[in-house]
Amino acid sequence: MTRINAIVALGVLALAASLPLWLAHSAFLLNVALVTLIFTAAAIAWNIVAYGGQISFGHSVFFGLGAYATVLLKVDFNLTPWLGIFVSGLLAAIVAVGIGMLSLRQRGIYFALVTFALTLIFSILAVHFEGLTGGDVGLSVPLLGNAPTQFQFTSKIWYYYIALAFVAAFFAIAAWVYSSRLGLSLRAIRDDENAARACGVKTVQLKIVTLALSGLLTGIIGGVYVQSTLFIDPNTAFGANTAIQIALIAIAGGMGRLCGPLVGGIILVPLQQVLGASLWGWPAGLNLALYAIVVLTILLLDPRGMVDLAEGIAATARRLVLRGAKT
Amino acid sequence: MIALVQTIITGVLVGSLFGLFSSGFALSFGITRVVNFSHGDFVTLGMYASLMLLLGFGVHPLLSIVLVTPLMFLLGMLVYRVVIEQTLKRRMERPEDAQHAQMVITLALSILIENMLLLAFGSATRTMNGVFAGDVNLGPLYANKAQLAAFFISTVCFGILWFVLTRTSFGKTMRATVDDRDMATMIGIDTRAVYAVSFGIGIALAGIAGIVLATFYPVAPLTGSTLIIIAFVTVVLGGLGNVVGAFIGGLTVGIVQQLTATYVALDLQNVGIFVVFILILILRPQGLFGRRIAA
Repeated sequence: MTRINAIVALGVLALAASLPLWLAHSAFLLNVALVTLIFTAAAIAWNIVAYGGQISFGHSVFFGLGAYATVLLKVDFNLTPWLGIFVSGLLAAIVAVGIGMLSLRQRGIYFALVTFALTLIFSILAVHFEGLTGGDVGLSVPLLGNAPTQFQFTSKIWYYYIALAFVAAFFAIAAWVYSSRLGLSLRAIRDDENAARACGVKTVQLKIVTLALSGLLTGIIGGVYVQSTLFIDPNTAFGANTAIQIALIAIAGGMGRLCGPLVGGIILVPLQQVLGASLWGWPAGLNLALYAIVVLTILLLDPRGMVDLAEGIAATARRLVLRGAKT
Repeated sequence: MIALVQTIITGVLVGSLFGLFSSGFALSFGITRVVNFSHGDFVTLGMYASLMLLLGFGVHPLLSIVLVTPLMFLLGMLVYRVVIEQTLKRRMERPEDAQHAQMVITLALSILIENMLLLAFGSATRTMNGVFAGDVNLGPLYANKAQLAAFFISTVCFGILWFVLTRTSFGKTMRATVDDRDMATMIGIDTRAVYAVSFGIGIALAGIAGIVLATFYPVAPLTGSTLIIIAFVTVVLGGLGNVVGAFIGGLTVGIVQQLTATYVALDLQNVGIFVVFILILILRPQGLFGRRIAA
């Protein structure tokens, strides 16, 4: 990262850290900010797979595994969620390796199809194995009041800062992957898998390792999510909606771009949350229909997402200014 | 033994409809390379059309097929021209970039259609009663009349599709476009039109399947999201972009689903499909009838 980028990143971080002081006063806005951070973190994790040109529509599987495992580790083994989220993340990473071995040997869109189909299977299984997961009803985290050692706080502000720390950490990891040798190999795979292979890049292994890393991070943030809501059900955990939400943020922001999920998350999640709340009482479906129209418009304007769109606009503006300066 | 045969019969009857809309998906994917996540929602659209025409105007679903299919075809062409083609206008470094954008665009389209349906019809699950009621008995075996009609209609429609693709000059045009788009353009084929038309046919097939499916399958705004996953499994089973494979894959999925529902657990019927899906991915990733596709 260049120095300018680092300054910008720190500035954004400071802005986000001060947000509860000047904008997110109400409980509602604080919650919007919290959900934004959690899904942004998940989208950053998703995007690591996208560096290699793979597009996953099943990240809810890792998210849901992280959430369920965190609760179950606490309930059945009395493991504090502070450790539980990481153990759950490892579990998600192991599952990711399995999924990767199944689907990443094939190229092209197989991975997208397989991961999307997985969301359905995991939600059906979570409903079916009622004894373990509580079935349709879902699982609640045992309420402990204000118990910092058990990752439970009565004030949402703590969750906000914890989620912010995870966003920052995930972003740093993503930036590191992007600039590392791994990132270079991933870009080579994305651009031309055959050529990458010919250059000695172990394409399939690298794709699986990347998916495992992404699954690990997504599982961890799933655990953070369940601690902040204290409740999880099969549909929120594994459902296609969550998978689509995560992917949509990153893609509409800019797939495979470092800042893509950040921009996408900061714009789209609050939009969806505010639409949902302000159209309360209107016929169901209107809010998501409007949300879909916004996403469609963004992608029709620029299929590569908002970061690319902004760059295009900036370039055009610069050209106009330069032309103005010449005449 | 009779129970087994009975289960397989039901599976084939239901699976034929899976096969029909999946072959529509395979057709539009095979030709345009668009992974249409909203394909299942066009099935739902057909289901609602069938239901509303029957309840509102007393139109029999068989007549609805004739009325609605051309509209679905036009709708499909419109969606392709207005929405999907936009992704091809910008100069892309690689076609895969456009493909990713297309996936997300059809995904957003899917969210849009589902929520429009929710707006229009509410979240209640609706069923159609009285059309093709009762069973046909053959000794100890029986077949639900609606499912029998579904099998008949989807086989006929698939037969027509197969005939058009393999025996007409238009089908030749389409296959030429698949084989080599640039070459096809050079010999005077309007590939842009071929893309739009094949996408339209794909949607029309989804519509027909939906109209027939509504006679025995309950419909809700989100029905399409399950159907699209069935379509994914089916086309991977049959080999991506292989239209005949998709139809046979649909039959297989129907049989596996019914077998799982009868012998394992009713609520796990779609997990059974997935077990087959995973086995296929391990043993024969190019699909039962697919050629190994490069890159």
